[in-house]
This record gives sequence, C-alpha cells and structure tokens, in this order.
Amino acid sequence: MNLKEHFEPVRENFLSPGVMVLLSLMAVGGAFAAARFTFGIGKVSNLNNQFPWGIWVAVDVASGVALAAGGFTTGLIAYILNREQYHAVIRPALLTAMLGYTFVVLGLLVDIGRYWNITSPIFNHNGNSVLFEVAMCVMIYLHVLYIEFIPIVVERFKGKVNLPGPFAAMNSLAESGLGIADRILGKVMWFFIITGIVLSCLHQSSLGSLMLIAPYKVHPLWYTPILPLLFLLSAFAAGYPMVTFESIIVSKSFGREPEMDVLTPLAKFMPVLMGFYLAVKLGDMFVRKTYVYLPDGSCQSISFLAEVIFGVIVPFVLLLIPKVRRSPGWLFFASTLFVIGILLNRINVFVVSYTPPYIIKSYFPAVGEIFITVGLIATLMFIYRVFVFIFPVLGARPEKMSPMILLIFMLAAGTVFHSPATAEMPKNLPVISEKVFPSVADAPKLHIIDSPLIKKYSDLYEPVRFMHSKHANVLGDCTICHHRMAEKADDRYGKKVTLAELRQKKKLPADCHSCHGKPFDPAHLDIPGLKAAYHRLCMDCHKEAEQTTHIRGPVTYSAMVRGPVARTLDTRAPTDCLSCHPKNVPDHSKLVKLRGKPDALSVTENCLSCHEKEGKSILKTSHWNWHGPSPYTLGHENRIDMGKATNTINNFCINLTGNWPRCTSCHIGYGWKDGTFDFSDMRKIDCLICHDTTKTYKKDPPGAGFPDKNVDLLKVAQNVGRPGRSTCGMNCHFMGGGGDAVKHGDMNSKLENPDKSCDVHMGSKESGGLDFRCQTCHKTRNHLISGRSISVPATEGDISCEYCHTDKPHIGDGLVDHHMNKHTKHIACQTCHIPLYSKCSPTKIYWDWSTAGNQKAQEIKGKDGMPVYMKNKGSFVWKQALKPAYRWYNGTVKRYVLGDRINENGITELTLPVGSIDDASARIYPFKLHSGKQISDAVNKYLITPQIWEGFWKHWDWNKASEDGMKLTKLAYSGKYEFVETVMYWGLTHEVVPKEQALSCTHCHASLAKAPYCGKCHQERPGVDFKSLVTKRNEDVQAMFEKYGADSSATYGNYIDFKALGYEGDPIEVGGGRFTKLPMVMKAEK
Amino acid sequence: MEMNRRYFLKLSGAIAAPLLIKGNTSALASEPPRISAEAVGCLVDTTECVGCRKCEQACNERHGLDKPRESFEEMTVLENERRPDETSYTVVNKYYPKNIGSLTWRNRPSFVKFQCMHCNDPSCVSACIVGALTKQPDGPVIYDAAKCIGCRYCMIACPFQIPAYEYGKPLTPQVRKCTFCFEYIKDGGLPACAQVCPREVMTFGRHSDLLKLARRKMKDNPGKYVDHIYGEYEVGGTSWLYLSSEPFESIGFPKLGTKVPPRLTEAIQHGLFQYFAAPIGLFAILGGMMWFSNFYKKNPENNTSEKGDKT
Repeated sequence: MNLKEHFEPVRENFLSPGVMVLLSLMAVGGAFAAARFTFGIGKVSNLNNQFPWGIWVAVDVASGVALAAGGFTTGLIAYILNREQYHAVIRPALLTAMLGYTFVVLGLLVDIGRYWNITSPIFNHNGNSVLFEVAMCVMIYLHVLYIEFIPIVVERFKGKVNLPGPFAAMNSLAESGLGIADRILGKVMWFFIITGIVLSCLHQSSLGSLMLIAPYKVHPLWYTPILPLLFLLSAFAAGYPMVTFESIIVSKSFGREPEMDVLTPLAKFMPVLMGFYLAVKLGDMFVRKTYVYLPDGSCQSISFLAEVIFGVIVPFVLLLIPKVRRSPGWLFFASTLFVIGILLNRINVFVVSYTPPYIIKSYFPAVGEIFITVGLIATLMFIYRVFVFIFPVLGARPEKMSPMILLIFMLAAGTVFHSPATAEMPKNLPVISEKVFPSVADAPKLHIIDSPLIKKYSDLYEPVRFMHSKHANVLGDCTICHHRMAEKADDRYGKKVTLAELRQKKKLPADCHSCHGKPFDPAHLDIPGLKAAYHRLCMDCHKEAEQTTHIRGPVTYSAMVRGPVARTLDTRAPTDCLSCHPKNVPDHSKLVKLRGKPDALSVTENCLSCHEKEGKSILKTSHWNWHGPSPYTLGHENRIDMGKATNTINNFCINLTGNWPRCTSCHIGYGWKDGTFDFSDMRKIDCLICHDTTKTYKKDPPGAGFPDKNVDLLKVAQNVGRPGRSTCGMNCHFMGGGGDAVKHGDMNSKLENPDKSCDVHMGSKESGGLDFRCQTCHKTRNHLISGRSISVPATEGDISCEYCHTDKPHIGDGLVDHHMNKHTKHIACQTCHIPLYSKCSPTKIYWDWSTAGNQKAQEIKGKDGMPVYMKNKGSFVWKQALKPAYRWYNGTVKRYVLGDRINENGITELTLPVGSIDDASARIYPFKLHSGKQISDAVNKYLITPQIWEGFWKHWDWNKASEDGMKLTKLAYSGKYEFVETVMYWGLTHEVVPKEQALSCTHCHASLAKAPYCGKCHQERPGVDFKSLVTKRNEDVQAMFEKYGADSSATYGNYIDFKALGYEGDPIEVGGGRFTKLPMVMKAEK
Repeated sequence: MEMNRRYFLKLSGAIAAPLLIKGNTSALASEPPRISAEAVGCLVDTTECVGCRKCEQACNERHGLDKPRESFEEMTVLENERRPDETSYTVVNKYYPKNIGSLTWRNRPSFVKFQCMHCNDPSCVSACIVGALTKQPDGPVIYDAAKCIGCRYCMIACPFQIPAYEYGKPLTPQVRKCTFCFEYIKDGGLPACAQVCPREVMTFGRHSDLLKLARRKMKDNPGKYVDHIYGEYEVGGTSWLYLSSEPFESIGFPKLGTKVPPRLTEAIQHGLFQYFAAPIGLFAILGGMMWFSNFYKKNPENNTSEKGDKT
C-alpha cells in the first residue's frame, strides 16, 4: 500500500485567472456573510417562518455531504476491496471529502442562528432526533477525515519541518510529532477507514430521514419511508461521478491528461450503482402510486421529472455505453449530469418538495443566500487549490478550463412558486326577528355590570352600564337572559324558567352570578364563567355584522334620528367592545414625558407622540373646524361648509369673524386668533380641555384658546382621562353664550352634579339618578361625537331617546301605556318628559344689543342676581323654570345664513324647526325661544357681523364696528344700521324629569279632566278608575312646578295650545290632523 | 475474482437496505411520551369566537412581545390570513363561509384562534437536536433557549407550522411559540388568552374533561358542530382541541392524519442504533471484507495492482 511516490504537490502559477474569479466570488460571499453575522439571517436571506430551510441547507449541507461521498466510496473500493489501481483518485477524493465536510460545517454556521452554541449537541443529547445523529456522525466523520489526511501531511513535511522565526524552536517537536503520527497511523489507519465508511453510511442515509418527520409538508413524490435508503444509494452512486467530475476538471485546469486509465474502470461501477438507485426510486414510486402526481404540471412534478430523467436516467443510459466510459468528454458529461441530478435531488427534497400548509410568503433564495453559497463553494475550490499546491495530492504533470461550470449550475438551481391563499367576501343578510310580548314593568332600570369575579381575571374596560329596563322592554321575555333558576343553594344548573312563572311572580329572576362564577371551574367546565356568560348572552343578539331590526317592527319616523324622510328605525345593536364599555384609561403619570413647566404646545406634542391617529381624527371633527356637513339644514343639505366658522350667526354673541381671540376660547385648539389659523396643524389641538380630570384646566377667556397662565399643565397632562360633565359641560357647553346657562335652556352648571329630579339621566346616584356621563348618550368614535343641536348645522351622528327607550317606551299593558305608546308617533318624548326647561338655573331668553354702550353703568343686576344690563352687551331677560314652546319638528331646520334677507315685516328667525301637522315625519317637540335685538344693515336688509372684541368694546361706535366686521365677512355695508328683532329656537333634550313628574293626560287634554274621562271612548270596566288614570300624576307634577318656581303658564288643562299647532281644538274632542278616527263620540253619533 | 467483487458490492448495498426498511416496522417503535392524567389542555369552540383579538393582546402583554404596527383594536387585520409568528404567539383569523353558487347559506364568518397545539407527541420535541423543546407532563411544550442552536428543524417538523424564528436577530435569535403560559398554569393560573377571552371561546381544563365536554356540546347541540374534534387524534392528539360548525379544512386547519410523524423517524433511528448493532455489524462486515481482500490479494492479485499503478 505504499503509493506515496506517485503523488506530489502541484508546481504551477498559483494565481490563474480562474483563481482571481474565485477570489472575487469569495469576497462577495464574504461581504454577505458579514452582513448575515452583523444583522441576522433575515437581512440576507429569504428564509421565513414558512420556509425555515433554504438552499443553505439543501446545497451547502445536504448536497455538500452527498457530493463528498467520493471520499468513502473510493475508500470502499480502494481499501476495503483493495483495488489498488484506484489509489490514484483516493487522495483527491479524500481531500474533497475533507474540505467538503469542513464546508458543510461552515455552511451550518451561517445557517444556524445561534452558531456560537454549535457545541450544544455534544452536551445536550436528544436520541430521538435524526438531526442529532447526523450531527454526531458528521462531527466524528470530519475528524476521521482529518486523521485520514494526516499521512499526506506527514509525507509532505516529515524531515522538512522548518517553522519560521520564533517557532523554529518547535521544529524538533513538530518533527517528532509527525514521526509518531506516521508510525501509529500506519498501523491503525484501517480502523479509521472502516469507521469513516460506517459513519458515512449512517449519516448519508439519516440525512434522508430528516424530512420524514414532516409527512404533511413534504410532497408525496419524495416522501417515502425509504427516503434514507434512497439517500444512501444516491450517495453511493454519486461518489464515483463526483470523483470523475472533479478529476477531469482538475486535469483540465492544470493542463494534464485526464486519468482515464483509472476513470474508465471506475465508470463501470457507475451504471450499476445508478441503476440500483433508479430501480429502487422508480419501484418506490410505483409501489406508492405517486406517479399520479407526475402529469399535474406543478413545479414539484417538473422538478421531479428533471431530477429523474436528466439527473439519473440519461447518465445511467449513457454510462451503459462503453464508448462513453472511455471518452473523457462524454464521461465528464455523464458524470456532471449525475452530480447535478444529485444536487437537484437534495434541493428538491429539502426545498422544492417542502409545501407547508400555510404559505404567506413563498421562498426563492435571496441574492445573499446564493452569494454566500457560491462564496463557500469558491472558497472550497480555492482551498482545494491551495492544498494541491502544498500537499502531494495529485499525480505529477501540466491548458486551462474554468472551474466555473459548477457555479453556473448552482445558480440555475430549482425554483419554488406558491400562490397565496385568498379569502372570499360574502354578503350579510339581515335577520328578521319575531314578535314577542312585553310585560316587564318591574324590571330594574340600570344595572352596572361590575364584579370582582370579572376584574380579577381581566380589567381592560370600565363596567358596562346595562340598560336593563330597555332590554327587558325590547325583549319582552325575561327568560331569554334569566334562563334557569337554582332550586337549592348549591345548585349550579337550576331549572328552566318560564315567563308565566315570572309573570305570576311565583319566582323572581335569579342573578347571573348565582350560577356563573369563576371561569373554568373544573367541576363545571360546561358552565361558562360570569364574564363569558354575560358576553355570550349579550352577543347572542349583538352579533358581529348582523343588523338587528327593531324587534317590534318598523317605526314610521323619528325626527331627531333620521330627518324628514320616514324610514325604518333600525336600532343597530352595538357590536364592538367600546360601544358597551369604555376602555380603562391607563395612568398617564408615567406615560407623559414632560418635565417642569411645559407650555401648552409641548403638551400636545407629547400627546401626539403616542396618539397621532387621534390627532388626525380631530382634524376632521366639527369641534375642531367649527363647520361641517349640514344635512338637516333646509336648502343647504349638501353643503359641507356650514358653521360658526363660516356663515352662521346668532343673537347671543352674534358671530365669530372679527372676534376670534374672545370666541375661540371655546375652541379645542390653541391660537385661533384671526382668519389665518391652520386647521391642518395637529400641534395646535388642545387635548386637555376635554381630557382634563383635575378640574383645574381653564382657558384664558380672551386668549384665543390658550390656557390660563396659572394652570399646572404638567399635572393636568399626567391626569388625563375620559371627558365628562365637568369638561364637556363646565368647560364649554354649560357655558354657551359666554356664561352659565346663557344659551341652552336645558344645560347649565347644575348638571355637573344634579339630583335626580333635575335630570334623571345625569342625576347623581345618591339621589337615585343614573349618573350618565355625556358619552353614555353622545356615543363617540374617532372623536366624532353624535348629537345635534338646532343652533349649529354640523352633525356627527344622531341620538334620540328611542335609541334606548324604543318607540314603545311605556312599559306595561295598561290603558294609559297603550295610549302613550301611540303618542310617540306624534309627540316627542321630550314634550311630556321635559315639562319645564331651565328648572335648575335661570337662562337668558332675551338679549337686546341696541342698548349696549348707552349707559354709564357697567352692570345692573336683576332680582335673581343675574345681570339685566351690561354696558358692553346691552339688556337681558333671564327666566327660570319655563314652560317650553311647542312646535312641529321633522328634524330639519330653516337657518339664517349670512347675507340672507331679514324678515322686514316682523321677527327674523335665525333657526326655525321645520314641520307641520300635515307632515307625517314631524312630531311636536318642546323648544326654548331666545329673542334678541341685533344690528342689521338698514339699506341692504341683512344682518351685520360687527367687530365687537377689540372693536365696539373699545370705541363704542356701532358704525365702525359694522364696517370693520363686514369687511372681514366680505359683505357690503351700506353705512346705515338698525336694530331688528330676531329669534332662535333651541331644542330641549336634557333636564328630563323622573317619569313620575312627566306631564299627565290632563295637562294637555282638558277634555279628559272632566267626566266621563276615558269613558268618552272606553266602556266602564270594573276595577279601572278612569279618573285616577288620567290625573294620577297631577299632584307630583304640581309639586315639581312649585319646587322650581315654574312660571304661571305651567298649569294643567291647557299645556299645549292645540290651535297654534294646527288643530281646531283638543283632538280628542274635535279630531283633526292625522287623527281620522277622532273624535269617536261624534263618529258614533253620525 | 470478478464474481467476488460483484458479490461484495451487492452485499454492501444489501446491508443497509434491510436495516432501514426494518425500521418501518412498529416492533421497534419508541414509546410515545407519557401524558399524565392531570395533563391540561384547551377546548376552543370556534363558533363562540367573535374575533375581538383580546387573546392576542393579552398574550402579547403577558409575554412582553413586540407591539404590532396596528393596534389590537384594528379589526381589518382579520381580513388577511395570518399565522402566529415571533411577535405573536397567537392570532385570530377570519374565514368566510364558502358559498354554493350564489347561495349564501351561512352568513356568519368563522373566527379561529391559532397557536401551538401542544401535541401529545410533538414532532418538534422529537426533532430538536439538543432537546431544547420538551413536552411537560402536564401538557405544555416548552422551549429552552440556552440549549438551542437555531437550526430550525422544529419548524420543519411542526405539522401545524407554529414555531417562528427571530430572523432579524444576529446573535441570539430564538424560536418563539406559544408557551401555554406554563409558568402560570403550574401555579394554578390561567393561560393569558383563556383568562382574557370575553366569551370563554377556549375552555381551559383537564384534557380528559375537555374531550368529555366537547362530546357533550356536540350531543346537546345537534347539527351545530361538524362531527369532529380537531386535535383528538390528529398527529396523535393535541392538548388544544377545536370544535367547529364548518369543515375544519375550510377554516384554516391542515388536514392531518392520525399517524404520529415522530413514530416513523424514531423507529428508523432506534432501529439503526439499538445496541449499536447496525454500525458495529457494518463495521465487522467491512473489516472482514478488508481482511479477506487483503489476504486474497497477497497471492495472485499482485500483477493487476502493479499494472494499475504503472499507468
């Protein structure tokens, strides 16, 4: 076995052009590898969660191992079978194997994420893992290969050790080491040779087992339990073609003759091994009947066919021909085909066949992956060259052939295409509900759903304010929710409840928490916990994307809701989290990143750093723009520019233009001091005016919206929260018109904390009220706040009483309930339930600007302490607890717009509710009327927009104020002014009284106040006292009138002036309007 | 001589084949991991889910994962099919019912929460080269980053395509997946998702009880569910079980058999390495052949080898 003298180091010009190409490829690959180690795998590869393995595994590792099979297969034939003529190729094959495996490991270092932990498998064993076995085998085999290579090192350096410089001292030591290695290795090399072959057999096959763990992901064309056998057989078959391929390339690149005397005999084994592999592979395909996938045209089937036909069958057939085996060119071609076939096979198994169930992003190797792979191969080739120059690996003798062929094939390797999944969009159909029968008068009103049982597990939202009576009313059947009742104390399942039992009050509905407790009670897994019970029950009706039509059928109109067009009121059940419970506001004391004494603008900047979306949404609101769409303003339905900021006027402070700094202290922004304010600048938003919870934030009245200098903005910013009555109300809306209760007849500072009789909704809990915050009714989304006021044209959503109370709000099945529910078609809820306005605080009902500036006195106070004259504003009239004015109203408003001609023959209506007795969509609503005397152009006959702030209040000259003001509104001013009477209608919806104090029948219908009461139409019935039915609340209402000092017009019998509303008289007596059946008595007489 | 050579070649090929094929027989199959009777799981009733994404939020917060670009209140993200990834251990997907022609016969979309199924016999645990993934006796499949080398074989192995990887981290990427909040349930706590879920879409409890509950639900609501508890037998059973009113394939579940993938690989693995019989046997055979061919060569073979050397 002494064949050393046949090998010697190559002595050529080391730096050939090919080497330069190799070096440049190495440099590019190295750059990408540097990027990979600096920024992570994700930066340079297309590997993702769907495709965790790519070409680094398929080519660098799997193909690397397979193509290094030349090492053990030549070892097998040369040493085990002792065919010495093959010793010529054993050293190149060994070097290829050694370098090949080294680069498998280098490839792995690139591919595995925690490469620094690569030694982990040595300490952490998982005997079940195929990969563990592969790793161990590869690791040991790599060392075996190094040991097998030692004799070549020994041969090169033994007796010639000459270390440079300081290492020279170690020459003798190295020399003796080489000597020992030489002596020992010669005797034990047989052990390493056999171990190498055994290890190769093991891990070559096990590489195939790797993918067996993913039967549902690997394409059936490749997935077979004998995949490890196929891998082993293909490795056997690949060994000699690889040796041949490499030998011929090396010969060509060093200009030598191909070693055909070795390669031709070696080629005789190739078709045998390839044939065996092919037979098993095709046999497996036929046994598993996977050929059905072949014609499907997918990239898998194409790739499989390419692999089998061009990678196995063609070389197999070629190599059967003796001429091919003897011709260096043909032999090279056939060997190359098979090598590529193996490469393709490994890529197929590890990449192409891998079809995960969810493909969000398909895989194709990234430039970085390809270049790192190419760079590794180039490095391998370069080091191979270095080795053959240093060590006696090749035989002796010297044209050139580029070693690039391999690289070109690498780059052309397999592709994967996948189509992303798509979803379909179906239409949602509404569900028609069935009629149910109400009788739930006893239901408690409001139920605040708050339980420590829920809070303990998740505390994301504020408790739900559950409108119990509303739901009871709508559903009409308690047993829908109160479905079971515990019989005994520890009974968790209870018994089914029937409505009859509840009606007869044999049973009282049980609380939810009597059965539903903590979640996932092991003893009662089928009983949902309390939180789930609530949510499931609620969401049985409040379903996602399904519009629940009103349970009791269509409502013909609802003016406040929809405007003039009569249409179905669909109470769209809220379906998202926020419509039932607001989110808890996180503690902002840590979140606010401000220090010291921040100014207002920097507070906003800090808010926006997290809440940019909210900032953007503010820019679209009418609270910010002070104008918006005006769908309910008659004649201006399609405009989007109506509002205070542009073209409306009132008879309080008159108008905004020219008076900015004073007026905009009610604006939710900073610095709107003239016509140039930038409404697209989020940084000017005043977040705190609405979100302050400390009640210390105040705006400087003439400060153009900036806060008062004394406000501790840091403290306010750290304590932001949900707006409430103190911000919405106290900061703005209770103070409309420049002072408490000036504008709104139904809003004043008392509502910050009213008692129940002042406002049943907002009334404090202690007084028995419901303690609503503004948003309970004024539902808000993206800062768009629902609700309307007649005085402003813009709207961001409707509310009406019916949203909660339904159009049949009078729970019960008595005679009066029946009639009152019929009233809801013609009478707004507010009409009876707000018998007085400004109950709690006097409101301004008259403002005469003409007297402003006349007197010397700055201010004169009236009886009730309210000013009746102010030098800069004129004269006022204040009134408290007034009976409203009643008008038909269909939801639309006639509005005075700047430049409109005034009513020269009477009072100019700045806002006027539209509707009449003949208008089917109109109902009778209550209103506060505010009259005024304001300045008008005596020639042009339109209202003037005087400049008062920094104008009239300085020079007391109406003419100059008018001139300056009209210039800014771009209206012509004739130079002559007059004062004209104007009036505004203000809707009333707040200050709803408790139901016991709502108007009774006889307040309006005097005809019912005398015998026979209801007997006019109804027969006497035993047990029914008609008189008490129609008058039963009179005393309560009267007491309320007295308590608030109602004005004298508020008495029963003539509360509503029917004639003014278009009736001939009390409709019970004379009929008329829509009441074609009335009066019944007269009809009967006819 | 020629005959001998062929004989040996055949023999060497034949050695490996039966060894490997033998591996398929169940006789050598390794024992599946023992699941304790107290093992827990979750039963997800997809008909209850409304896609509120609270589970995603709670999971994200409990595990301190990266905040997503869109907030958890953003429901439009449900329109795209998502998968759990390194920043979200669980996701909810929305599946619209498939229509037959123009007929929309079920108009409510199905919402399905996905996360690690915590298989009874997890492929990832079997696959993991260093045992960084382990199946806890009480159910969870958990991950130990200290052992991990980042080879991502678990991701290849997982039939549900769950483990995700931090491709963006250069030095300490981890495999991320649902932990079943094992550190919480160990102390009697609840998984974050189950705890926050407003409708108890997932019932957390003992695996055996959950199967009973699932059967009871199916019996009590005839026609509501498809007759299948997903996860009862899939890949040998999973800790997380699903009920659905739609066929599972149409709501994003892979169609998996009852075969346990690790059984095959472990059978091959243990078949090959039982008492190291196969490697030692192969070693002995090769050694014998080597000795035999050397011995045989000493007499008449010298001239052939010399001829080879000269050319």
